[in-house]
Amino acid sequence: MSGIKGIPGRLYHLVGCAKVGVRAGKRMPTITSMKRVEPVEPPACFPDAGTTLLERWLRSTGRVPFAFQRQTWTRYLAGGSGLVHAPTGSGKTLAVFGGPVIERLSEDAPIKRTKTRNATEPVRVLWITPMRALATDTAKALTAIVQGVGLNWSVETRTSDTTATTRQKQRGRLPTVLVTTPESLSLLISYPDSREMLAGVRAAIVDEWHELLSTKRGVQAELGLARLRTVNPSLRTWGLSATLGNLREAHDVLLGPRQTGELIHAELPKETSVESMIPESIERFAWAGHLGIKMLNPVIAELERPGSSLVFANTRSQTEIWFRAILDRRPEWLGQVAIHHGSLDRKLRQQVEQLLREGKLRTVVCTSSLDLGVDFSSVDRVIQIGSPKGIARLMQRAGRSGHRPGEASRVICVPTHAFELVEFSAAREGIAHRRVESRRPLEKPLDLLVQHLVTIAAGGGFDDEAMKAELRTTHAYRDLTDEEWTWAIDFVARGGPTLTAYPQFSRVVHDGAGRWIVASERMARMHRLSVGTITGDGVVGLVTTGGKKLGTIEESFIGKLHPGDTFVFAGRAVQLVNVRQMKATVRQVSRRAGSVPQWAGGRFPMSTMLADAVRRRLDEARRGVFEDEEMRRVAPLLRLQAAWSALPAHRELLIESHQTREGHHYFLFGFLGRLVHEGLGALVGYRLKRLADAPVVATYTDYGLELLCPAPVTIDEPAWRSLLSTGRLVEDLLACLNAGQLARRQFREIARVAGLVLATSPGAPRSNRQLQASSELFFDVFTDFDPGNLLLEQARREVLERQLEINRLKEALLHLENQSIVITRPARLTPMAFPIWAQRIGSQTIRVEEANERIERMIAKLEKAAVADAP
Amino acid sequence: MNPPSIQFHGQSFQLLPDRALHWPAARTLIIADLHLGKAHTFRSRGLPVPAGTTERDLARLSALIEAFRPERLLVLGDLVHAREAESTLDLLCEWRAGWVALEVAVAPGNHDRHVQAESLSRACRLLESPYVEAGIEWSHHPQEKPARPIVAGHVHPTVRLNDFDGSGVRVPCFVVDPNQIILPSFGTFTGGCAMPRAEGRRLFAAAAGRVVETR
Repeated sequence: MSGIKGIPGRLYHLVGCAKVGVRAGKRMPTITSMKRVEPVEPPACFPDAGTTLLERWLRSTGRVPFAFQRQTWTRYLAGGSGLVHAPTGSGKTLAVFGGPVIERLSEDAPIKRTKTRNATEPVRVLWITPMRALATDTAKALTAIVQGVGLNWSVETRTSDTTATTRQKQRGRLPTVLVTTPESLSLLISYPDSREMLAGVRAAIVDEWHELLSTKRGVQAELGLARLRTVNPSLRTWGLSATLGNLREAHDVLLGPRQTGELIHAELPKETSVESMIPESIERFAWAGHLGIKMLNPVIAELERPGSSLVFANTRSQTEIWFRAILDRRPEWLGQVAIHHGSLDRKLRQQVEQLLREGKLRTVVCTSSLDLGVDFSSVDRVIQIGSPKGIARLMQRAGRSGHRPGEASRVICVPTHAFELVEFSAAREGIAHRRVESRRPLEKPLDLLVQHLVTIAAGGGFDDEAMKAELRTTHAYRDLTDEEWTWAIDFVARGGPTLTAYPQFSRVVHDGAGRWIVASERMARMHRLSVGTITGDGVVGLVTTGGKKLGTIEESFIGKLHPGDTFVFAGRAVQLVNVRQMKATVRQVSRRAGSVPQWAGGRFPMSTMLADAVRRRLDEARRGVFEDEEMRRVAPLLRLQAAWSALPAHRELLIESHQTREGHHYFLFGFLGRLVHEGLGALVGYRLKRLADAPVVATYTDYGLELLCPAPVTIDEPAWRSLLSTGRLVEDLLACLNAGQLARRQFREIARVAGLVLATSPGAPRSNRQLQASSELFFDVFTDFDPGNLLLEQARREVLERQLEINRLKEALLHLENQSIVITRPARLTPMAFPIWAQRIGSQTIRVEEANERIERMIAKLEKAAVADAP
Repeated sequence: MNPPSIQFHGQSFQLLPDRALHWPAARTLIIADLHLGKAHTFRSRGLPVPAGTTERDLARLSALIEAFRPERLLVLGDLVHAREAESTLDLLCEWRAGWVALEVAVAPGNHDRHVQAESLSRACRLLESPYVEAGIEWSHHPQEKPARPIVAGHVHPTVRLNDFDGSGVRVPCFVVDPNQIILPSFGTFTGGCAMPRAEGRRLFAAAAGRVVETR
């Protein structure tokens, strides 16, 4: 696999980069904070009966336990908790599930043989997975172990995909092992009998913890775990995580501040090789390309090889485009190529997963919906379309091939524009040096707190002190203040701190005996509908005229269509018949359909780490160093950039100033990642607006940002210095936060989680239609009538922490302060500026202008035009 | 030139920035989709909307009456939002008491069905359907192809204003077709629906204290 692998007669060749050997267990300098806790003394009777039985079964299937698996079992049996750091396909499932299995095997109680569900043993293990798509696979893997050792355990899943009948049955009696998601666990807790139901849970296992860590769903998992610990104080908590820059922190967040545990590393060699597909004629290759469909031929050539492939695209729309393009070119592959993304109906997804497992598919075109998963050992190669966005993510995706322990992972990267070749090269470098991203945990999101309080109120109620104490056992709410607690209680009980502001409102009430309970059964039902809608915009169900479910689609997309319009879904052309009650009916048509749905979300920002690696590559290029094939191939374009403007040196901030009919454009290439650029755009945009006394629109990408201003303004180096200065940073940030629409935008998600905006999911009762209002409307009404509301406060805080994080911004500004500023005035958009300019259409923009102010300006302009037109 | 006047089937109307229509010849003020008590309805069903929107809307209405001194207020439907809003009718009656001489007539809309007709008639006169005056039909629902001139509400029309960078923002608007006028919703706590442009259709944005035709 090393050396150049050319395929004669094809339009491309693969760059067989040096195989990048990465030893997963090797402790690298970047993760020095990890320290290994010495294994505790084994129990007296070690090896106990259970371990012997499990190992005997493993041997009968040709396996021997790895050291890290044994270590995890020992810790579990000694009553310990912890986090297992293991790459995909390393036997991590057995590591964390082995403990509970051994524990049962070692117990004296005889194992009864039975066939009925209700005669299986009561609940013991709760397995939390971030994606419902994973639940089925996990249940299968766990069942194999249970059956292998002959336990009388039932293993079932409970997710939003689970039918109502099964859920009802489970509420009557939980299976021995329940595989669920953070939302479904939250839902389970919202039933009054949940305490007794969950009391038997001895082990809670959180799979793919790295995926949940920096999300609200992760906090939801923390809250669920806290509840389980309250119900059973001797609960053992285990997590599984792929490689992260901050594994120790991930461990601490999972266990909360009151527990100690162990971080266990799998010592398995796992090699990752990153290769790129390079277009033959790079000169004619667009910078901001059309989703890389130009690379279709070489991708098809790769898919023609024996074995099965996963083709990862970054968005659901891209999977639709690629799926269609592949089948158009190879119609005879019908049935061998499948599509998989989160908006497809569960049955369709499960079919695809099953066929993939059985090795019956040549190719699955997918999104991150197949990033994770336990058992796709039949995948032979992985193709990544477009930017990997992060070093850890690319490693993870590569890990989907060579899924068996010890086997090498291999990923072939397909650029959608030339710059991505630089990214691939940079990502490979990052993997080789183990510069892997960290994910920061969230700090006390109040919307989720409000949601959780209603959940617990519905699930049997709570009293103040115990609940406060329980919340403080989570990492997210460990520092919850009494004031915040009082606000949250006030909010759910009265809507706000003042009685007058919210008459008639109450979600929880006092039961007269000092406990808070849900106000009514109707309120509990409504609340359950809104739990679990943390992600996702308003969606409508999509069915065929024959009643077949196809999946879900964003309301905003369907809203733009008229009956008779055609679009592509799940790889087929469909025509809209009508939309009624959150359900869109379509009929299949044979003709080619035009538009591909746009789904919100799913666009990962590039990590700062990868952006920085890209910058280093560019600096090398400036100095004439082109280390690998990718860089050599992209060299002509980089030279063009240098000729028209400049290539930024390592300690240089390049600013391009350019004029079009739209106005004055300033492109700043900071290479700090999209999130930082968003913050910079808001800050610098706000300052520029003040300086120019004209509106400014900031657009940001992973590489830089554009400031567009319709009025002419000349900015020299000293002016830039003051625009980028750290002076008055906090004041300016707060001012631009109040002026801009950032908080308003952030409020969307908060409104949904806090239950302001009702779930418009298919199946929601019709009576909810009188309760529909957009989060924007809520934002305005709150701002006008209850400006002190903490949810508004949270929106501002989330913007400050996530988009405009002061520390990170300050760091970025200090970093820029030490750079020399290079201002160029290219005659046209340069290769580096073009993608940012094109991004504005994708609405990655910030306006530093109040909504009212903006409308006033636009109305005034219209009126002026009208006066001028008047006869 | 603000507020602009339009001619519609022999009658002259003023389009007011506060999302109302003024008919000077008939000494009438016309509004649609007040959705009184919508916030109240939300609160009683567990959604925390601060109080004050109903009061603000009634105050806006008072200000308009103060300014134009009409003899009649014509409401083109959706005066109230839902069943729970019945108690806000008390507020409406209280408000009515301040304008004894004013006639309030309502062409009922789909939301008004949730409230007993008797309760509604405490505060206003209900018009029969269809109600025609000056050769114009006054109703809640607009029509696809109106057979006669019609003034209606119901859809909460909005129009997109385009900014210099190609982006846009939606604001409430009046829709003036050759045979139909659609009023923006009067209520503060109401959403909107984008209106497509069409042959012969004029869209007047009502925002920032002005009414301006958009092109």
